[in-house]
Amino acid sequence: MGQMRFGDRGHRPDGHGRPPEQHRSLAEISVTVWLTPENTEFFIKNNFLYIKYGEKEQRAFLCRQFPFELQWEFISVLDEEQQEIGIIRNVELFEGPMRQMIVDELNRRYYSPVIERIISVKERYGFSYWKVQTAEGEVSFTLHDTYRSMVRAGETRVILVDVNGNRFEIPDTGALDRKSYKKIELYL
Amino acid sequence: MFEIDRIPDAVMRALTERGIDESAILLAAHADRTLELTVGDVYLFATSDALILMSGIVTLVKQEGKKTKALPLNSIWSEHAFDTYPIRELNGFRVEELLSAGRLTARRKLADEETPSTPSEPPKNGGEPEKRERGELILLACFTNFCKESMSLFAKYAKKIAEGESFEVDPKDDPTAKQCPKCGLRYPDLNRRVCPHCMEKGKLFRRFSVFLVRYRTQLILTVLSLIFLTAMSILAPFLSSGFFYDEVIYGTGQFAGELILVLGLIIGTAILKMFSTMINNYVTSYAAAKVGYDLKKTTFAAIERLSLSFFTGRQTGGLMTQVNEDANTIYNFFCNSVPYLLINIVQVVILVVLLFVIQPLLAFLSLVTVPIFFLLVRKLFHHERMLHAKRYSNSRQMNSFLSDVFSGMRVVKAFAGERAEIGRFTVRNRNLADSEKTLSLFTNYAWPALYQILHLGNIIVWGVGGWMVITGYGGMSYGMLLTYIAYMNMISSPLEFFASFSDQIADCSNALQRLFEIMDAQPDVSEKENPERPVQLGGSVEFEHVSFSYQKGKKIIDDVSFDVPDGKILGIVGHTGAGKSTLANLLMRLYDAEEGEIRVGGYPVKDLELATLYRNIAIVSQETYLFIGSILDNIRYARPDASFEEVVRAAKCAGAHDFIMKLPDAYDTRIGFGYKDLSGGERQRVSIARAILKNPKILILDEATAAMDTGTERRIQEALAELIKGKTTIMIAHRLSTLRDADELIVIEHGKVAERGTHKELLAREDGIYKKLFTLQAEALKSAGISE
Repeated sequence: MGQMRFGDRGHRPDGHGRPPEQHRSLAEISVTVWLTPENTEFFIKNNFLYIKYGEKEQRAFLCRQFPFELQWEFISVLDEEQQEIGIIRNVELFEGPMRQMIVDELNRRYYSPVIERIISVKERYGFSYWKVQTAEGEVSFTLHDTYRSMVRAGETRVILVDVNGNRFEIPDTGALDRKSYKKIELYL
Repeated sequence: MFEIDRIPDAVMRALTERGIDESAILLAAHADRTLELTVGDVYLFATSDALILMSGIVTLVKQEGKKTKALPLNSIWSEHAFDTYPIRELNGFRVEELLSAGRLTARRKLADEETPSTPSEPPKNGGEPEKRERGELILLACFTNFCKESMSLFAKYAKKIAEGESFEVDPKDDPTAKQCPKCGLRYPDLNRRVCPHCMEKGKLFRRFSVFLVRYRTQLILTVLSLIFLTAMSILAPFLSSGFFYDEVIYGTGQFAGELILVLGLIIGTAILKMFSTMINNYVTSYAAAKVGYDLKKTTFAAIERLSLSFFTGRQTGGLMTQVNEDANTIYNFFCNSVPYLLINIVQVVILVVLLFVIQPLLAFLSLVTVPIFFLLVRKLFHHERMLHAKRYSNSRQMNSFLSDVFSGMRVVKAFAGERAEIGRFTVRNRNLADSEKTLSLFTNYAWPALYQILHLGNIIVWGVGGWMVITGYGGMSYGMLLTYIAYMNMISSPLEFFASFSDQIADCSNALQRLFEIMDAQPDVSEKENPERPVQLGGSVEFEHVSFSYQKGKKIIDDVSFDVPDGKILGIVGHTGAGKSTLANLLMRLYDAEEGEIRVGGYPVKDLELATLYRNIAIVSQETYLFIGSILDNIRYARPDASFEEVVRAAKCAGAHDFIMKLPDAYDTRIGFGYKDLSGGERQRVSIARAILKNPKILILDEATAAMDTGTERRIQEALAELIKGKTTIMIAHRLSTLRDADELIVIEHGKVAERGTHKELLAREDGIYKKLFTLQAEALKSAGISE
């Protein structure tokens, strides 16, 4: 249970829970399968995304390969065992409802409310307690080791990862109002 | 009912209105998102035969006329959907983690799955040790990570209900343990039970003052000398100004013309002042060093006693700061700031009183600027602190960049990256220079400007005071005016100190908090009371249904059982991350198993005295750590009382003696960070010598030769063969050829024992994992031109 965790590399002390690489040789791993509308079909069953590639129908898990640089390109499609089925070069290759499915699933996976305004930041005992305004309303969260919990994902984009692993995003620090910016200036 | 999250009254009422009795509910929890991942409240309930999902929005309204926080708010429930599932028809409850969010899912049982299913066919390829749940997948709830913990608990207990088991709540899962007992709010970080709302600074300082009682002599001396110093500082201007002019020069009283006397008094106070300063400095330096030393010792001792899990969850750098800087902050606060604060308060009070005594109207006029000055100072302090922090962060970045590049110089050269590195350096260098410029500009402009404001008060004093002396208003004399001005100037430095004091309190309470947190932390692995201390511990090792996870819900070891008789060799095979090293960690009791029992020599490891256990087990792993010190010290780390003869014998057995003798300083060669660098194979042999010297009953070889070339490996294998003679040995290896001598082998996959048997038996298995691995490796070796 709980094996569906991708992409958070580097948090575990001993590298446990790495995706198993058995069953496949290096030659098999190094071949890239490009998923296109010609060879692939996505569909939704019971709220879950499924993929039909070749003969096999199975659940699909999507993962951005370069989440900070490319939002809609180089999307890895993984199966339940975290083995890569193939890569979507660009979401735009798919059209209509299928593209929507992919976009929706990616939005779900990379769900991170956008911080519109920072109401308060209190630094205490190595933790900082935040109260922010997001599109979804006011949210309070806690960062441990503030400096390291604010990941720079580009020149002005910052991703905050709280103690529970929740992610919040500031798409453009320059676009924040002055008061908000002053509160985080020190950490940037 | 096991209420994982608090369920609002309105929701409970809505549930009752649906005809579901509160007493029938076994389990309740809250999720904070709808299935579309939009904001919403979803309440999950489980009764013995139904799973109920209520989604909607809870609005909290303050109760009229009641202001206290602790009173519950009135809740209003607007329901959007109500679903039920027959819980007995579900299985496979699990939490699927996305990044920031998660999903609670379950599967509908298939018709033939009524009984807790036995896999219809034995696991093929060993690749799918878990039974496959094949029923239709259902999405029950979505949530953000705020609810992850609750949802995992819900899944855990819902599973039991679905299987018709009665359950008891594990005390570890009790949600009240995760709330601040005072205000009822959840701790923002569950690993750190600190409630930011209820933190009492006073308590911290009180607790620490107990520690300070030991230094009361020094502290009392500090305060006394400071009092004396203040008295002298106040006396000096009076003697040299007021008294000198009014009484000696222009006076007609008994001191008129007594120039020598007044000079003597002035010199006398100056000497007394000097001595009290010296005493004060002596006491402060002495006490500071002593308190700092003791504090660091206390912190270090507190850290050392904690279990390994404490260290894996933290950064080494943070701990280093804790030992060093926090101790400095704390003793500076108590040994410098606090006495200084007391004295400053006394000084300011005395000065203000004196100013009013000398001339009330003048005092009133001149002190008008003080509050303005004080407020401005506070503001400037905050700004300056921020600039300091910025400079600090820039210099930290610069330092880490430098150490990174210098240690990676080989790579920089190999990829011709010098130019790019110079560019990267320039950016950081410029940032640092900029922040330093801003800081020094600020301190050079802002502070002088500020003093002008205080000076404004002085101008008022000069003007009004001068007028008073001229007109003789209120008996004001020239000498009094001079004394007055001297006192006015003495007031500014305490004010400045007060302005910075709140920041000092904050820093110190942070440091204290961290200190107490460590002192209060309970090691996960602790000896039980009256542990077993057998003189002779047998060498047998048994694992019985052992399960373990580093992170909740992610089992690394899952129901593992095996046993190794005394003196036998067990080989453990498995892929990277399968859990092999974790087995070693558990046997060493670096962590405690969550379920099951581990026995060494017939004793459960939890009952054994830790020292006894560690005396009897040694580990040689791929990662060798040698401390700064001589090779001799490093080998002796296992047994500090070992004789020279024993050390040499151990080194010879480990095949280390020859290379050690080639070093100019032989066994006294300093190794470790910043000294002679040994090669990987050499380090490994030193660590084997260490293990040989320990002469344990049980030996764990954790990939001991994984990083070696074939030649070195062979030599180390020979050394190891010497070492394992007659010892119970657990060999963990990637390279199967190293396991040829094992009496038995187990194959670990996904934390479970997938295969077990001798090399021969395992090879005989068609489709066995071991066989497959063995064939693969043999082929790889063959193609590399090496045959085993």
